[in-house]
Amino acid sequence: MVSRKSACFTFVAGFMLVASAAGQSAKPGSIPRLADGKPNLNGIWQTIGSADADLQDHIADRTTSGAQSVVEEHEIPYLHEALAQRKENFEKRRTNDPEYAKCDLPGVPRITYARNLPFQIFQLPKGDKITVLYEFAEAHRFLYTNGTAHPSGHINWWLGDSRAKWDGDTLVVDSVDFNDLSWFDHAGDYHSESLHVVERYRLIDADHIDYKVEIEDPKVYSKPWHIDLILYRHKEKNFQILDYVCYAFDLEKYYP
Amino acid sequence: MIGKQRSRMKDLFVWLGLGASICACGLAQTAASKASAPTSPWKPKLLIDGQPDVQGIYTADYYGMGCLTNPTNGDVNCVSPPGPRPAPGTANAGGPPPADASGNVPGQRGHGNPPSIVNAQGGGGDRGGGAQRPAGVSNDGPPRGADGAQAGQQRAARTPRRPRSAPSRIIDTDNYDIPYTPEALAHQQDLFAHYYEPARYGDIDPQQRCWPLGAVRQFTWHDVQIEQFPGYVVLIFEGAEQYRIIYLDGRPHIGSDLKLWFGDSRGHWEGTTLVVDTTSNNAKGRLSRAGDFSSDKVHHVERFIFTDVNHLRYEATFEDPSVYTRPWTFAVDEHRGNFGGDGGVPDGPVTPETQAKYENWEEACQEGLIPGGNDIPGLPPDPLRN
Repeated sequence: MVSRKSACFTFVAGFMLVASAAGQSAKPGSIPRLADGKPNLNGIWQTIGSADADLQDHIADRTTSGAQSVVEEHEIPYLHEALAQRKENFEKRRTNDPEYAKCDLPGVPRITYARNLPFQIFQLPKGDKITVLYEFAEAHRFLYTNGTAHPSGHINWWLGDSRAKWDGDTLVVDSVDFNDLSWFDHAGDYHSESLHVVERYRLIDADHIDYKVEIEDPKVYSKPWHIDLILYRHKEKNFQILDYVCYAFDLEKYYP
Repeated sequence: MIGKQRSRMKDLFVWLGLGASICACGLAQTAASKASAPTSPWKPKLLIDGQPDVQGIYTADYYGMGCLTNPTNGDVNCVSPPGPRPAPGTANAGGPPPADASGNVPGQRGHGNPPSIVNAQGGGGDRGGGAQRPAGVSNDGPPRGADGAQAGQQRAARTPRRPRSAPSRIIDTDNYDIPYTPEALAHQQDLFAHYYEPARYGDIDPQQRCWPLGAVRQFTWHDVQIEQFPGYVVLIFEGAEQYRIIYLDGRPHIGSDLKLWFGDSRGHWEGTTLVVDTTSNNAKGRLSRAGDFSSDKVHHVERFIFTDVNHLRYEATFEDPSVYTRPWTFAVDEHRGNFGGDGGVPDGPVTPETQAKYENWEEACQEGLIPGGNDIPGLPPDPLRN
């Protein structure tokens, strides 16, 4: 499946290189590019679905729609000894999910689908980094594309340290230096500080990104596993990022 | 990790005087250069969409949010409010400068510092570095750890802590003070009086909760990273995870009933000045630690005046008849941050290489990684969450 996709994509991309000489406009089935030839990811993107509630199969309840698993392996390959923590997290999710209960930064990749909120990618041709601004809690990420390595760590960050490079037309973002406090979803799927995340952003056409994530954490999982989501471009006129300062929701009424 | 995290703490004040020895771009010099004959206008590099290239990280010459009328070089408060003082080493421990020769108590309403106060004191007053501190450096207390203690002694020997007053941040009223209506003044005084003895949840400074500080107040706090993209200027603030997007594409403002923490900003360039019209402020971030505020009806015209490659003067008008008797203008001078060392730990000599290497690292204030986020004695507990 994957190889068929990429073979098809190579054909389309090759065609695009010829077609894009005229400009950055995108024809159906083609992808927009910047002056440096890289796929142009600029824009406002958003997931749909309910990965934020639960990455795996789940039925609807008062807070979420039901959905099929977005985990490619269908189930997350927890180590046996890690399952008890996951079970406890699930049972206490209303009060212990850091994103849901405290509005803490949701970690990676959850920041991408947290509350299905929009986020905006800012990319320059030959830029030293790609800046991503998220509506969730004023969060931002810098995806450094200047060839630098991760800082000597370990550093406990909520959104990790992200170094990116292009693999053909796919932006590959390698992130480490996470704390062990964020969850991947409201169902309590969790990780340790050893988390290593590799995100792959690949334009399928002008308005859709295939967002594939590899998650590795030998302290919690028996093997790496994968999430695959689609990011949809906002095309509404004058659409813009607003704010979702959820940590102030409870108390802001006292600040007229 | 803790060392690096602490290097990002918001408690910057130990470093304020140190700047003079690292970086000589003080406000006094800026003022002096303004007083001399006009020099040839700055010709910045232009970006692909025609914007002047002003990208980089800027920091306030006189940093601090305690007092808009009588700011000092980093003291957090202009007058000690009644109530217990925070313990040394906590984020609010800075004291106010003493009364001046004429007996004026700093922070007294109606006695904003005039612009001439800078030259009267002599010397530069700004700090030279950015927001990030080496590991172990605390706020007003000594740096932690053996290395930190040694470094602290060296710093103390080089830069005795001396309060230095800065011009009022209000520049166009007779007494350099905010022209509150009587009702608004009473509210400000009430908030000020309860700063250290909060009686209501709303008495607690939003900054102590790590909330966004609003379009204007944010410039008196940590560094701001300016990024430019075709059609946008993006401001990414340090000290907490917060940003602003300024739209240059001429789109209309969002609806006036829709309020945002940093407002809704539409900008355009006039030469090397970025003019920004900002509406839809929710005004919840307030304006200082002295209880200064506007309402959510406030309208700002902000002017980012880039005077040369390293200096920025930020001005913002406040138009809000529900709170003020007349419009007034806020101003703060900023300079490009100087960063030594490697990446996010800017210790050591400042070179073009270290400047280029600097990275703005995560500061998860709300999440509690920055100690002292809620250090008001007697802080009442939050009400039950919804």
